[in-house]
Amino acid sequence: MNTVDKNLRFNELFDQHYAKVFRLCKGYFNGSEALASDSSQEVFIKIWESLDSFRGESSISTWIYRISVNTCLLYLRKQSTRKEKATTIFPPIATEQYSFEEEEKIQKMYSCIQKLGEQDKMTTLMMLEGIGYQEISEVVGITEEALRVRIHRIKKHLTQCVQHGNI
Amino acid sequence: METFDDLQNIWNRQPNVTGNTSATELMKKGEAHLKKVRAGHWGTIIIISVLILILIGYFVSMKAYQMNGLTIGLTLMIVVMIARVVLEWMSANRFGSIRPDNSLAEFSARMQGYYAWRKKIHTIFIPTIYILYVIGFTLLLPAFKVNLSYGMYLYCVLSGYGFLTIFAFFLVRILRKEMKLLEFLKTLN
Repeated sequence: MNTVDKNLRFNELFDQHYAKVFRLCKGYFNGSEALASDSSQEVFIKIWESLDSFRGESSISTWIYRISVNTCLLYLRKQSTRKEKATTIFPPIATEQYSFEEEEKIQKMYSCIQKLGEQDKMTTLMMLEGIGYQEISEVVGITEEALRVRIHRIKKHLTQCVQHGNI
Repeated sequence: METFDDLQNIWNRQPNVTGNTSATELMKKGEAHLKKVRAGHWGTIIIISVLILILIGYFVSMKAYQMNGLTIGLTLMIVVMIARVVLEWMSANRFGSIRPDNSLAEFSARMQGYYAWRKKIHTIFIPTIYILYVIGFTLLLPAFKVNLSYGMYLYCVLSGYGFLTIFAFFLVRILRKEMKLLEFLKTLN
């Protein structure tokens, strides 16, 4: 892939996937937009660096989610002294039906997701982002059947946690 | 009574927020990072080459074939320094070979393998290297005592051992940090 093609491809991937990766990271970091922004940038830097080595063994979105999940997982732990950088965040684009109660519920969801194990946390966030089961199973590295069982359990626990505050 | 579908609907209606960045900015950062990695590789090769040349140069110029404390001490220090740089280089290569696009299960297994190897380095190789380095430095001291003024000799002893003590604290800190990470990776199974 020559440089021009690579840059064009990267631009395209950035436009298509950045928002989703951002939300995935935001969920992983308990709703912190600063951490989500910094880690999403790290994800896309890795995507740019590895783009030449993408062989099409999986779909490009699976490949991106794998990089996102692995990067977020180690983002804070690689440098325990890492502080939140003061990244500028664009103001939220409010949707019509979004209310204060819903914001509260979202915060509750974030904190419930934090109570899950690491693999379950990632699985939950991908599921909530509407990523297909087959793709999630490829990202996590388990069979689709095992994933279905896991998701059934997670849904039950998450609903229970948001309602009663415990898992 | 809320169902999971209700939660999913609330999740979907979240406002969209994105960071203030662009594809162009990230491409630049990626290019800069790649350059830094390549420079690091070359830097390591240059450091090892310089150390080896110093060692050879010393033996040739001083005709130091007789095994006195100064020769053994200096050789020991340079050899273990080379060993240390080579170990770090091997570690960096091993870490670099872990692809970030592996599945989560494979990625965490490979990371676990990497940090288990780092544990071996920190608990076996680094302490051995450290002890040999301290022995090498100690062997130099009689020559320093003869050839340097008392004040300078004292300065060498205090600053040398002082540095080695502080360095030991840093090594323990790094070990603790990496072992914490290894413990975390084990929880992923």
